[in-house]
Amino acid sequence: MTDKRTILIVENLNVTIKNGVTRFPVLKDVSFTIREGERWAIAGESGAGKSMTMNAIAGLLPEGSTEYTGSILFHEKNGEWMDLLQMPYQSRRSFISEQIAIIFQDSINALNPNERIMKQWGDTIRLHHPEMSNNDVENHILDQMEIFGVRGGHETLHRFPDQLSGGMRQRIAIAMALESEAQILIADEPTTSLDAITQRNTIEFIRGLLDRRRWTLLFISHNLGILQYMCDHIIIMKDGRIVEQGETEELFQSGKEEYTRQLVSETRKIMGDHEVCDE
Amino acid sequence: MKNVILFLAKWVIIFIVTSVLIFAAVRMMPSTPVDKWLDAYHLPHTEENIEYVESKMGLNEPLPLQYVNWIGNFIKGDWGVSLVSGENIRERFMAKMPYSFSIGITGILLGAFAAFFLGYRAALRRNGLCDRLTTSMTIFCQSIPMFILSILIINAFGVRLGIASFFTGDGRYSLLAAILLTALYSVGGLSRVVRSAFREEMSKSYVKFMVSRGFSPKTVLWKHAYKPPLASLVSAIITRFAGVFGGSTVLEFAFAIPGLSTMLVSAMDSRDYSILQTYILVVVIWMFFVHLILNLFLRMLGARRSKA
Amino acid sequence: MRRKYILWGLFILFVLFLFLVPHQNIKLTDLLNTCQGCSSTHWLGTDNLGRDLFALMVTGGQRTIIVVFLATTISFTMGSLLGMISAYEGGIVKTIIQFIADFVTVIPSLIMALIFSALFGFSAPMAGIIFGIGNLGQYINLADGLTSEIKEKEFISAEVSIGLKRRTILFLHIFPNILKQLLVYLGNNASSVVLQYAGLAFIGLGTDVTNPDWGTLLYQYRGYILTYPRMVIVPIIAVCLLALFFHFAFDDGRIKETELTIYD
Repeated sequence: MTDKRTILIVENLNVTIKNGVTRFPVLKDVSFTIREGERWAIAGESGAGKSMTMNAIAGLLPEGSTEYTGSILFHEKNGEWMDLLQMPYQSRRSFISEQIAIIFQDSINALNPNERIMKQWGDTIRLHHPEMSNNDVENHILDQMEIFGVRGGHETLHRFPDQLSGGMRQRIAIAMALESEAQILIADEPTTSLDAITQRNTIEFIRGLLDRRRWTLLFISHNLGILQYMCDHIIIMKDGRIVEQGETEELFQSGKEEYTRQLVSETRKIMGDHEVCDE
Repeated sequence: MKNVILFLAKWVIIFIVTSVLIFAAVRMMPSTPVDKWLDAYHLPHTEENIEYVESKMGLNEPLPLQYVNWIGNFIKGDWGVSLVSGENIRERFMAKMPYSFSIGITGILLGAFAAFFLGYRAALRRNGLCDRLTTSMTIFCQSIPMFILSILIINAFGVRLGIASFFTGDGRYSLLAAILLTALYSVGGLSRVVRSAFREEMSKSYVKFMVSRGFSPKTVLWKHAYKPPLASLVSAIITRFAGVFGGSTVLEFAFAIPGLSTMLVSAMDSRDYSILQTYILVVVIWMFFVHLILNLFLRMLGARRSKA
Repeated sequence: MRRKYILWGLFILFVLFLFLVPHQNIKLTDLLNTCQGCSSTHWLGTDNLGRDLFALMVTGGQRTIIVVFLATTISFTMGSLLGMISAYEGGIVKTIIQFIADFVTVIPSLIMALIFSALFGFSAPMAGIIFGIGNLGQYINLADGLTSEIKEKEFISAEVSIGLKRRTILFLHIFPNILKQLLVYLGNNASSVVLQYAGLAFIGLGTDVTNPDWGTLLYQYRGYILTYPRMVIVPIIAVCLLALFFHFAFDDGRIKETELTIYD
């Protein structure tokens, strides 16, 4: 545990979004540290700032309308520390897209409905590997399809997203998100809006990927059951602040804050008293 | 295939219904074409004369037969002669059409082209220069009628500055002014259509997902999300083309351009019903081609509806 | 919101003013006092025939208001109703209503109005009815699109399954939800009717000179723009102000999307 490299430090992060004349402070004094290979969860009710934290780290907030204070430090492979918030927007975005892979809430709708799978997937690969020839790109995609369990080969590739099943689209979206050589995987409620079976499959799928690739995970969900199952660390947020953070088991057994205990007991009520965690 | 048949059937019905309506309307007129014809040749309205003209024009036959003859001749290319001047109507239309169509088509295409870029820029920077510009253009076009602007333009360029003559010469300034005004009046509304279509795309998951994968936000919008806005623009143009005739009526009138609308106005002034009838059929056929071509374009573009 | 109350208050005052304030006889010409400036007897002066411009403007205003009222009422009520029914029923009903919408948009309403005024004589109510029918198409398409969107939402299908009457669902649940957007369109439509009517009168087929419209006045006075600009500017301002009023009075700032995207 101790000799793990620290990979991401978020320090006193405050984020305010202004829309017209109104200003919404969405994150207040958020700090946490993530080490390589750890699996972090961010939990909280909707509007607690979970997705905002993710978006702030990933540079996906409306750039022109957002004010940041504090810092987001990223540890590069060559040992240098980068403060993301000091970088200009364009270079920050391209830096992040190489370092962080993101899976979104509705990955079913995450594909461009107006482009064939081949085109969007190919464009993504060429973005990260401009040197690849068309042939290589196609072979690479076919390999990836194998890995991610996307059936149909060429035929699938020449379809539009609306001609594929929801499960297929989701797998393709995840596969495309993972094309970069990212060190961190952020999953923002990847299972909401899915039915129970697909939810379970997706969770298992992501877990399988993690075991294979040894990513650092940042998993965002309001479902404590899933978080307990997936993650070893947890951050509990409310109203844009971090209420409590620590190792998952510890927090679930003996949360210090009233809010944490409340959340946990509510989850227990829903899930039944048995532990979801069956590792 | 089913769509093609439905589309054609719809237009056949539109053609029949409009032609029946205008045919009936003309026959309900207080002053009949026969009177018109006699007046044109300064003949007295005696019963003999009326009877002669009626049989000459085929007006003594039963109405359905008259209608069928009229449509049949129209399709065969025999559009009849003007009641007032006796000119061949088809030749007259062919001579006037280039003016009206060039104003309409060039004006709208010019406007649409500008609208696409302006709408894109307006969507990109909320409350930015382009956003404000297109909003004010829309309000401007909604509150100042084209003909008022025409009067002002004629007055400013033609009378005060004297750099363009609108009512003498070959009329190229009039044509240019009419095209530019049509374009100007299209840009505002169309660019807002493009803008809101782009805004809608911007809020979609796939755009955010593409940006997160490392595409630059502008590239995503311009190269990967252009289809739905383009489709919205084309659909908006389809409805706007109908207005071209309406709008160009006022423009042709104000700038004295010898186009279809000027002809219509003078034809109606002299109660020349045969021109009026033909005009309506020409408008329907023109709209048919507009719908046909632009719908084919939309089909080729293949923009798909996606969920939010 | 307050701005809107002020606008509407002004508008009601304006309409009352048009219809209640006495004005001079518009048919009265006075060739000794042509093109007079503003005075206490002629508030806006007189025109090239010595008629009182104020009286002419008021009469034109009355007629414009009648046209706008008729046109928007017809297209709003019929268009929204047909559009809602089209989206709600689907199938053959939708096909027929779509056909009506396409049909009325094929021939521009200005042309229709021109033809009818040439054939049957120019009158404000007739122009209003023709504009009303001619603009039906856009309302149908708008209401149809909005209703389809709402129909997809769950609460409507829940209401269908509870067994609420169709009429109840359409008028009490769908209509209030699409009303806002329809009203914004109504505002734009009312402005464009003002302009269309002015254009129609400007071309002036079958117009009766004794019943002046703003457009007719503009046509008559357009030659005096250099010598007596007042006579041209007054109708221009009237047309523009009325059109602007309709634009802003129905403009709903809250509809303008406030949702931020990553681009902002």
